[in-house]
Amino acid sequence: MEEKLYQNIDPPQNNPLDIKKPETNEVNEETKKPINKKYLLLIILGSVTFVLLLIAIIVTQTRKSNTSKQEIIPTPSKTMDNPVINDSLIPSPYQEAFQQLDQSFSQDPDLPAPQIDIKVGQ
Amino acid sequence: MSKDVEVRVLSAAHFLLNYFMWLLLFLFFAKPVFAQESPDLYTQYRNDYLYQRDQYQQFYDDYLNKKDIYTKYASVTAEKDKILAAKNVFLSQNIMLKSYLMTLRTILQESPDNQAEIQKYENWLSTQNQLIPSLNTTASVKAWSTTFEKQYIAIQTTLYTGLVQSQINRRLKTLDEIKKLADQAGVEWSSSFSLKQGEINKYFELAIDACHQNQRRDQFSNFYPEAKKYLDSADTNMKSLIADLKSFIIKNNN
Repeated sequence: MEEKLYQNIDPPQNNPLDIKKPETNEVNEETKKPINKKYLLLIILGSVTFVLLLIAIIVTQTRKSNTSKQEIIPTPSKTMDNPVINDSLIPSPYQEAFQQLDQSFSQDPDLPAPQIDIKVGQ
Repeated sequence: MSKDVEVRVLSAAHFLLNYFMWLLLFLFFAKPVFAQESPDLYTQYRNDYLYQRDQYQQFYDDYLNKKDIYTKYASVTAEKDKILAAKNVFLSQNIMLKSYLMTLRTILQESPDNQAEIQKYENWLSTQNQLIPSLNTTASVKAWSTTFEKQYIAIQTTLYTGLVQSQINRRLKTLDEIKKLADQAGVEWSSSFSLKQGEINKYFELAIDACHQNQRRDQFSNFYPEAKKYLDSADTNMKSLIADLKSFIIKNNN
C-alpha cells in the first residue's frame, strides 16, 4: 500500500512551532483605539434625530387616526330657514304693510288646469 | 201756428242738446273698464270655467257609455250615437279650454306677449267649434281628434307658461312692495338685499327657461312642476328678505 504524502503534513494550526498571535488579540487592539470625538458626536446627534423622527411619525399617525374617527361636521352654510320674528315688535305704521306682504304668498291663482282625454274619437 | 211749431222744435232741440251734453259729460267722467283689469272678471271667468269643466265631465261620461254600447253591439245606431257623443265632448272640451284661457288672460295684464299667445289659441278653439258639427263619420271624428291631439301640446305649453308667468308677475309685485316699504322706512337697499334680489330674479329666469324646454311632437312634457320648484325657491328668498327688513325696521326704531 502506497503511503499518501499529505498524511504527514500537519496543518499549520496543529504545529506547535508555528506560534501565531491569536486573532482575537488583534481585534481587541483595534477596538481599543479611541473613537474620534467628532464621529461620536455625529452618531449621537444622528441617533437623536432618528428617534425624534420616529416619534414625529408615530404622533402624526396617531393624530390622523383620531381625526378620522370624529364625525365629519359639514361646513357651515347659509341657512334658508327664516328667523321667527315677533310681529308685535314691528312699529305699528308698518305692521299692516308686512301683513299684506305675508299674505301675498298665498295669492297664487287657484286655477286647476283642465284634464282632457285626448283619445276621444280615436 | 207756425210759431208754436217753431217753439216746439226749438225746445225739442234744446232738450236733445242738453241730453247729449249730459251724456257726454257722463261718458267723460266714467272710468273706462278694461276687461283684464277687473278682479271680479277673474272670479266670473273662473266660475264659468268650473261650470264648463263639469259640463265636459258629463259629456265625457256619456261618451264612455255610448262607446261601450257600440263595442257591445256594433250597430249603425250605436255608431251614430257614439259619433254624436264624441262631437259633444269635442265641443265642450273646446269651450272649457277657451274659458280657462280667458280666465288666465285676465291675470296676465303685465304680459301682453302671453296674452297674445293665449288669444291665438282661443281663436283656434272657436274656429274648431264651427267645424265640429260637420263631422259625421267615424273617420272624420278620428281625423279631427288626431289633429287636436297634436295642437293640444302647443295649447298646454301656452297654458302652463301663462300660469307660471302670472305667478312670476305676482312675485315681482311683492318684490316692488318690499322695496317701497324699505324706502318708506328709510332702510337703505344694502348689498345683501341686492344679492337676494338677484337670486330671486335668477329663480324667475330658471322658471321661464323650464317653460321653454323643447316639447316632443307626440307627447306633452309637463314642465310646470319644475318651474313651480323654482318659484318656491324664489318665495323662500323673498320671505328671507322680508324677515331681514323686519329686523332692520325693529332695530332702527329701538
